[in-house]
Amino acid sequence: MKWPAAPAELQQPADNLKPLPSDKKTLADLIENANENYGTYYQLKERYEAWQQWYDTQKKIYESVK
Amino acid sequence: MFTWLIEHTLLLLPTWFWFAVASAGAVLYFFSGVIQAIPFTQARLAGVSIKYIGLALLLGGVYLTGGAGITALWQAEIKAANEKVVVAEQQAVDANVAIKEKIVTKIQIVKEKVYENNQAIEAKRDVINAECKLSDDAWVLYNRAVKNEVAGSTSRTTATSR
Repeated sequence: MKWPAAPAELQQPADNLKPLPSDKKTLADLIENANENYGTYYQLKERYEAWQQWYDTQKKIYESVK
Repeated sequence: MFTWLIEHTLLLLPTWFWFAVASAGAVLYFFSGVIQAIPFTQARLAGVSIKYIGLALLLGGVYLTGGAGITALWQAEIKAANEKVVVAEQQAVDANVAIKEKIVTKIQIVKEKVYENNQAIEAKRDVINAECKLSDDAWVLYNRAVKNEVAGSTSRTTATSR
């Protein structure tokens, strides 16, 4: 049995956090930017957990064939 | 090539065939004794021939019955293993689809929450900004945190504080 390829959704590169543009220096801009960066973090967290789940699941399936 | 062909042809024959050959050999061997008991020279000669033919068939049949039995066992093992692999490969594909659907849904939920929060911030932008304005220092420090930089550095670091 061949080791399966991971879904493409898990293989996307991680996005960088976005800095505040120089023309946006208000508190609302800061909160908005923080909100988006937190969103990026949570997306990565979900992908990281999905990677773990994917590996555990495929490992169990792979070992069941041995 | 010829040997390979013979071996595979022999292995393709079912176990019962070789059992039948061995049985036939045993029967011939038994009856060769009866034929040899007939008081004619020709019958005796034929009996001896039949005896050796029967013996050869018996031994060959027994040998190939064992071989065919072992081959059948291995073939059953291979078949079971192949079936297991097919099932496992399908399970792997199903697991991939389930994980893919799950991650797509979860990321969509995260994006929706970010969007909703941005909408709420936009709705209260004036109120938020009326109470506070960011200084240039605050802006610089915030961006350093975002980029994982410190003063005087432009490269990011992966070091963690422990």
